[in-house]
Amino acid sequence: MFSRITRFALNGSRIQAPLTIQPISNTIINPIRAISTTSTLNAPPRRANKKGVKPSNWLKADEKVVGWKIYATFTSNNTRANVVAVVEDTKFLEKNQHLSHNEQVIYYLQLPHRIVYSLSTGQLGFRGVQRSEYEAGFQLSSKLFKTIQEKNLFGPTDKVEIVVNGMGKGREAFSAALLGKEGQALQKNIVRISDATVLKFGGSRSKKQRRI
Amino acid sequence: MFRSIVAKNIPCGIRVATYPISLTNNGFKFVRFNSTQNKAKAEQIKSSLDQLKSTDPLASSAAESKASTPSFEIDALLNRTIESDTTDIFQNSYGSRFDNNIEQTPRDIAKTFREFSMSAGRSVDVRYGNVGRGLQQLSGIMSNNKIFYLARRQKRHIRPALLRKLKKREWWRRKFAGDFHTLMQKINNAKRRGY
Repeated sequence: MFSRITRFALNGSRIQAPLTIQPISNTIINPIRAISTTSTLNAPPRRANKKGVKPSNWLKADEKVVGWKIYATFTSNNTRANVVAVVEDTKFLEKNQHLSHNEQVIYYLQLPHRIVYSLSTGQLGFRGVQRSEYEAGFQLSSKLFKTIQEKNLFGPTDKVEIVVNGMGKGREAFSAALLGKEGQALQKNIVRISDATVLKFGGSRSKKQRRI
Repeated sequence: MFRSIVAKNIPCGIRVATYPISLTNNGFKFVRFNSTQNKAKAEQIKSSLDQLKSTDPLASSAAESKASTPSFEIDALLNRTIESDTTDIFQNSYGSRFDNNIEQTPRDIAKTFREFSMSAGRSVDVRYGNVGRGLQQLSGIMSNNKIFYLARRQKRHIRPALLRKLKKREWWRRKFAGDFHTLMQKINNAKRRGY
């Protein structure tokens, strides 16, 4: 799982970066965040005080964001989504000289993930069976994309990977919202879509079949 | 482990290519020759050896006496050893490039690794922000590899005998549908032709 992150985060030349022209005012780059110039970190302090997206919660000193991921899970009962920042310590090698060479390589293969924002259909007021429906999934996705835009999480050149998991009804709703006007602003940032539906290879014995 | 992969393996593969280049280095070709049957060819060889005399120091001894028989010259030619190059031709190009960069940072090494995660075969690069196409490609991969079908089947335990039965049933239904389809095609074709 983590190698995909690194590939996505570090080997940027292979992935087509979205073409955006940066205005001159954005050329002064925040030392903490080199990739995204217009983001929460450079925003005025009143916005930084918002709960949950405040970078001090998930971004430590010397760390910078190298990429973003949106994890969306669609189960038969619910739809959930997380916005995750892939973070790299810029001074990792200097700080961890006692580590072996292989351990240092493994850090860069498995860069830390920080959950920035998470949402599930229950938080939108859907209760019980309603959570499993298409409408709940659609509303969740539109709320998610709206929040990302409002909080200005992704800069113009940030790279975002979407990881979908499971086969609930919300899956279709999510892709519909992403292709529709809800996710239009987000589309230029997306560089990769992958599926993480869990398949067993051997493993433990499943539950017995239901009798209805 | 990671260091050895980068430092050692790559140049070894390339050095194999040096072999044929050193053989053809002198502009010399081997010719099959029968002295008793063809004297015209012998003259050709002699003249070519005279030309070589000025350029090639080792061939000069073979072509020295004009009275000598052609077969002798050929023997001399065959015995002639190829001059070994003191300098490796890759020394200046490939070798040095790798030797200088043996110590890569762990960050660079991590970049070179291929994907090997669970979803390695199930990820799609989105080009030019064309998300719709990416989603389409992904759904193609999912359906081709029966991932949803497998996930659904794995949710509940099916005893082995039942699983065998299920597989047979599925195979038969697939076969029947295919056969029926071809039959209907035949019938429709015949109908169209007016039978």
